[in-house]
Amino acid sequence: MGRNEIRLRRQKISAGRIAQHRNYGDIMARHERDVKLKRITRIFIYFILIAIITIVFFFVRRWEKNYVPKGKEVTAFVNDVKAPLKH
Amino acid sequence: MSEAEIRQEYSILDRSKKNPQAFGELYEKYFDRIFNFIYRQTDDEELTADLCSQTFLIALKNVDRYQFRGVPFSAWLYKIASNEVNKHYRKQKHTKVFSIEEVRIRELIEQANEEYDEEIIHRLMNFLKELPTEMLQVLELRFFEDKDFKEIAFILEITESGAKMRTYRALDRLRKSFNLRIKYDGKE
Repeated sequence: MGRNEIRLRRQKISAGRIAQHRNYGDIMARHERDVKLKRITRIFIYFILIAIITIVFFFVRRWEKNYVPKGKEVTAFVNDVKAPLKH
Repeated sequence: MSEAEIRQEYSILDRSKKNPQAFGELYEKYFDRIFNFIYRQTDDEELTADLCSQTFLIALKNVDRYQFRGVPFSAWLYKIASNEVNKHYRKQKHTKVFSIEEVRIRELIEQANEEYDEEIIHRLMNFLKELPTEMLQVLELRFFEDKDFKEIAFILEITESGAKMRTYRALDRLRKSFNLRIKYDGKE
């Protein structure tokens, strides 16, 4: 067995026979379908991105509302402590 | 291919970017050539029709990205077709088929001033079986599709000197095996 299979074609395929497979309408239809699918995918990706950004934004806002800065806590504590008595 | 023809194809490609219907002109022009090119590497009419459609669909999809690289537009189609055929064989893991037309073989043998008979055909088939795929691809493009080395290099993504080297090596082997005196591009 050789590296490739070599076949000898006694007859050349006729132009008429090739023409039977020619169909630009089908190519156009497939192309339009692909373009539509691409557009839908793009819209879907944008939608997902916007949704993720919105969710992150709301989480950050909620976290900001509930957040008490550590520095303030310390200051309040320091202010609460009475000054030591002088002897 | 004349400069006027190249310019005309360019204008069609430009129109195709805005209106895919315009690409139909190039489809009609090159369909038969691409079909024959693929058919020679598959020997299966239905499969060839599928791969041929796929080739033109990919070309239409990427027409925006097409850039002139000093070779006719058809070379780009051949390149896509060649990639599609290779992709098919990689997926199917079949031995690659080369189906060659007897008429063309007869022409080539007669050009070499040899007598055409069944025995020489049989020897030639055995010789081609042992050639590496890369050499067969170059020979197919050179002698069955009449492509120049620049186009062959572009289609197979190799250098021009690489394309020449593969062709000359294949022809050298042919000369030695058949004891031929083929004149080719000044080489004997």
